[in-house]
Amino acid sequence: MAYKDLLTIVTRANGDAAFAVAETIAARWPCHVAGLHVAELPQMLASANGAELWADVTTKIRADNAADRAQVSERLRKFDPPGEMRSVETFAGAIEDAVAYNALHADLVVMERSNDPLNGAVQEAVLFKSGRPLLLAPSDWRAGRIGRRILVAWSAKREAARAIADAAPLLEGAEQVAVVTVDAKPPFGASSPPILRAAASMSICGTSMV
Amino acid sequence: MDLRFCSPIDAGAMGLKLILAPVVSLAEDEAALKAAHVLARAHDARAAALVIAIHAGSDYAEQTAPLSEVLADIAAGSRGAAARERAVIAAHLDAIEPAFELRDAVVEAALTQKEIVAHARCADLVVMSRGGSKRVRRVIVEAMLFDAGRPLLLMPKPWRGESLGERVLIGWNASREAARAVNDALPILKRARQVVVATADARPSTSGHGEAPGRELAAHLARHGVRVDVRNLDGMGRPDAEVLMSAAFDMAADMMVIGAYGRSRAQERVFGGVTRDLLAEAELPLFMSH
Repeated sequence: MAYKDLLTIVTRANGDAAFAVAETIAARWPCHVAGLHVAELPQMLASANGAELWADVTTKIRADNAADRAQVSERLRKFDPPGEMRSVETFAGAIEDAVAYNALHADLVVMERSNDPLNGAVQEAVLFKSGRPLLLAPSDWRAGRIGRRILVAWSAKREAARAIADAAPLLEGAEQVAVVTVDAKPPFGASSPPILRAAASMSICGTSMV
Repeated sequence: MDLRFCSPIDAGAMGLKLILAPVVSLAEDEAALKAAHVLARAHDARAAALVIAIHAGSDYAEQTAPLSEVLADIAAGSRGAAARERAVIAAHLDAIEPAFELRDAVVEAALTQKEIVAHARCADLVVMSRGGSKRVRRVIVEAMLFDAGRPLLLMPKPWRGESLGERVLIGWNASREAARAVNDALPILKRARQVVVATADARPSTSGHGEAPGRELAAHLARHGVRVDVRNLDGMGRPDAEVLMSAAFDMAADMMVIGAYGRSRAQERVFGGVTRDLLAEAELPLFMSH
């Protein structure tokens, strides 16, 4: 399996690392790249001039978001073929479902790690509501190889099994894969330690396992 | 931290590589074994039967046996009931496909210590037979669906299908379970002659199904080289499961792909649910992920 459908999600505060990762992945696997810009609109405060205040603030926020989206759109045009532009601009309560809908059809979702609460909400939406895997990049990541040396944290749980299956294209192309367990106790048969089973499940071609 | 060293693993192209069929008795699980064999050949994968031994004194034994019988069964060792069943299964597999691997698990230990699920986590697909009289099968099916993290193909009993995975219906409700099921089924969908994405009473919206129900999924599948049609079905008051089964019949589908248990099991027991209905009534193989 290869990655054919990539979704890069950015919020107001970040984007460079996520796009850099997307470019690296798209260079390896020719795929359809979509960029999703997510923005949150403020809630209206109940007060005497709440509506007027909200209108002013929201107008400004919308203008800022539009400027951000133009930048994202510009960045997407640099992909070959050009990436697809999408956006979500809505209230806090509706953000998760809107993000999940966009992520539902991707093979892989790419985001940047940050402490931004909106980012956190978007990541949770992807992880819990879309069923699709998420690749998180450090915020200062700009270029390099991805997936040459991979560390797999194997917990023998369902989530780990899924993550490994979803990471299959990356694992297949790796030069070296290290599988790590922490305090693993084989619950069954000393003859089949969890590591060997994990290794057997990985279907890796020609890579050396450590 | 604990680092272990292993030898290099060799493998071929990505896709289905290991298909696991948990088996309790040949009579009730023959369809699962046959399906695993068919898929393994089509995908150049390995197939393994996990023979689950139920001893006379087991909680899952069909009848409560008197202690003397239990002791006699234990004493019989390799001639006991479970061992005899294993021999029957092994002989059957030897006849159809000698390359079928045989693994063993004893049900008590396997269920309490999650050994069966551990086996499943190392497979790409688990195949089991539906229904049957043994309670243990239901327990294992649930463990597979909710714990294994791998897709489950449930074969009807009896299975009279002539093909498997050539004409596939995807029951799409824009949920994460459905997204997982579809992506888990990609190796099969890519080889299918006909794939239909079916939605039942889907309303366009800004989330969930989106503005064109099923179209985004179709585009995603097309990028993976799957030939796919979309059918937005009007339920006309019928339950979703019935709508899907009717669509499956219309296209002579030989497999249905669905997300399992979007509602919790408890909710489905009380309110009914698509998964429960399909498990009870569908006569075709169901490919499910949760």
